[in-house]
Amino acid sequence: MPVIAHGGDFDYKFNGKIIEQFTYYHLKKDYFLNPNHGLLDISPWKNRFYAGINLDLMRQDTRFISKFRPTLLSDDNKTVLRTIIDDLYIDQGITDKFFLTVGKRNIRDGVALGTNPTDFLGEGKEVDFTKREEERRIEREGNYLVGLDAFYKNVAWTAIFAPRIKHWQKEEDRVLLKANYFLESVDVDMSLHYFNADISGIGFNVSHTANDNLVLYTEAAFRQGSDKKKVRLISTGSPNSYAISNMDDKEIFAHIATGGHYTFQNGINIICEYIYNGDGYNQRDWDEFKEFVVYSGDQFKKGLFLNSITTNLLEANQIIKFGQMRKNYLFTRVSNPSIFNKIDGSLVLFINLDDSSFIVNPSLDYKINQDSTLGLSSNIFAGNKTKEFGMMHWDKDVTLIYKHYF
Amino acid sequence: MYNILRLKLQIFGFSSCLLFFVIPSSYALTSQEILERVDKIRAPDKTFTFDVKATVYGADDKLEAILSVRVKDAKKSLVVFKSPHSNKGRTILMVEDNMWIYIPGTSNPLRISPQQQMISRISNADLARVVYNIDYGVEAMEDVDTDGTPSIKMTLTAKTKGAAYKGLILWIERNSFKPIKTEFYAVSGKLLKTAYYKKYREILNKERPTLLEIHDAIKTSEITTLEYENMRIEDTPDAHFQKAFMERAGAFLQ
Repeated sequence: MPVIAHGGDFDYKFNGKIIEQFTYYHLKKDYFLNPNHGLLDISPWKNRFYAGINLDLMRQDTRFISKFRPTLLSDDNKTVLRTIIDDLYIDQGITDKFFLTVGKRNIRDGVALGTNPTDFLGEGKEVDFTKREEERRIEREGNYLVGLDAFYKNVAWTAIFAPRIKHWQKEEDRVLLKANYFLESVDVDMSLHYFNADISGIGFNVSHTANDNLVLYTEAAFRQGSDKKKVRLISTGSPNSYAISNMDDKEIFAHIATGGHYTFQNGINIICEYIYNGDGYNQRDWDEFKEFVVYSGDQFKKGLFLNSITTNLLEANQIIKFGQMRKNYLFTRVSNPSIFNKIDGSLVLFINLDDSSFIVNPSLDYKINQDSTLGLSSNIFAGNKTKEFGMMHWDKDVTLIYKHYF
Repeated sequence: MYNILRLKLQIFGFSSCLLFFVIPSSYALTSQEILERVDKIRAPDKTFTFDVKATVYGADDKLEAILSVRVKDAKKSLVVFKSPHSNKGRTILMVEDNMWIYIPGTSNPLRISPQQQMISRISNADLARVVYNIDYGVEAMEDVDTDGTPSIKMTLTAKTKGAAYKGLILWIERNSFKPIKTEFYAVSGKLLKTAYYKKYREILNKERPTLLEIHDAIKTSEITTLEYENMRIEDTPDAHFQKAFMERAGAFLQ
């Protein structure tokens, strides 16, 4: 019986997509992080015209994988042409069980949709939040790395080294070790991760099909330290004096996403995930940050102590990472992939359980033909202006996106 | 007298032999064995591979896909989309009752439930699992006539949690066990679709159906055809049937 054979001495795959994407932001007239629009010049629109090009070359046990995005990005302030390389690597099969990877690669880890605590190598990478959750990490710049994968029956081992490279990769050396298992006796697949970096940690992913309709999963990471900063009022005065400090780099913080998805007979799918950020602000931390922002915003509008107040507000804009500031969140999504056989619709609700502010994200994708789709989506931010999503620079955005696959 | 008795015995013996050959061999088999015979027509071995051209004829459109399928030990299968462009490289892995789908460039492969297996217009379940005897047991059997062909009507019920359908009714030719048609039922008892087995050709020493025509009972204007080609006995390493390998699967299924 012949073993699987690679077809042909040389093969290639060339495909991709062309995307025209326009986003309109309904900017707030006045809000704490950018009083009277006097601090940050945020464009009310952004246009992205780009191609996602995949070129793979294969010869026997060697694959050359490339994925890059020449992008023309325009907004009110600038037009920039740049090419982002997501993948550019060689994958060499040593036997049919071992594979060596060298180059730039967008590694994506995790089983949840709302957030991915075990996606260690994706940290700090820019993603487009106007895209659907499954699509966000597809288009993301990769890391320069060398990796080794070993496959055995029901288990796969991975070792990755991503070094600091002057001018090209500013992060300190990172090491990621992974083991992927499938536990046949209980129908559970799981992965274990060890990550060594500036903020080291361990993590795991577990998923299980509970019944005909329900898949359950949990993704968790435990990190030593955090890149979040806290604000503390040092003294009141003219102006107030604040200290911005890092979190304790010895403390272990848990990051968890747990939930599942349920599919009805008519195809409607519901996803529900509880998200916990161990390094998220508690109520005191948030009150201090809020007070810092409110005070600085008021002083800025009055034109007082502009140097220090401007610095405060710029710091506040650096600190705030929407969707990650507090400890407890709920991510839910209802989707119907086949409305009238032509439309893929979804509705996301992302709630900050600590302050009740939330984001609503409806989206529709219309299939024009087998190779083209037209999509419309929106993000609506709700909450008092002293709450997390109430601090957002705009209260809603709308995106129109056309995709053509080739 | 002795000669008459001997003659009667010879006639009886001959008749018994004749009867043995005339009576369909199905009566000598259990219902589960009959189902396994049916599956051996659809699948030449527990480990094999084939290509599928799937076409969905909707009321206003037509969707085509070409896929490559590898089966191992009957319970593992790996399906890779070769076309259209928008689905190229999409991979489905089924191991026992578990199924994952990998979409090129996305997050890690997603685990999907049996219900989700049926959601795409080309059912993942229909592609990934070729045989019935793994997921279904025979509840009842009766002799019937199907458009003039002596047949057996078999009622199957799901026996594993990975079964995509709650029940099937399968019609097979009584003498050859060739499948004629299958009705697929949901847990509510509702008929979901009917599949007809057509274009029988000799492949690997047996007459096998190379066309499966599926009529959707809910979207009645929709018909899906699965055309099987290039069926061959070929092994795939066990290590390739796991989630972590799915990203590379497309490059290996030529």
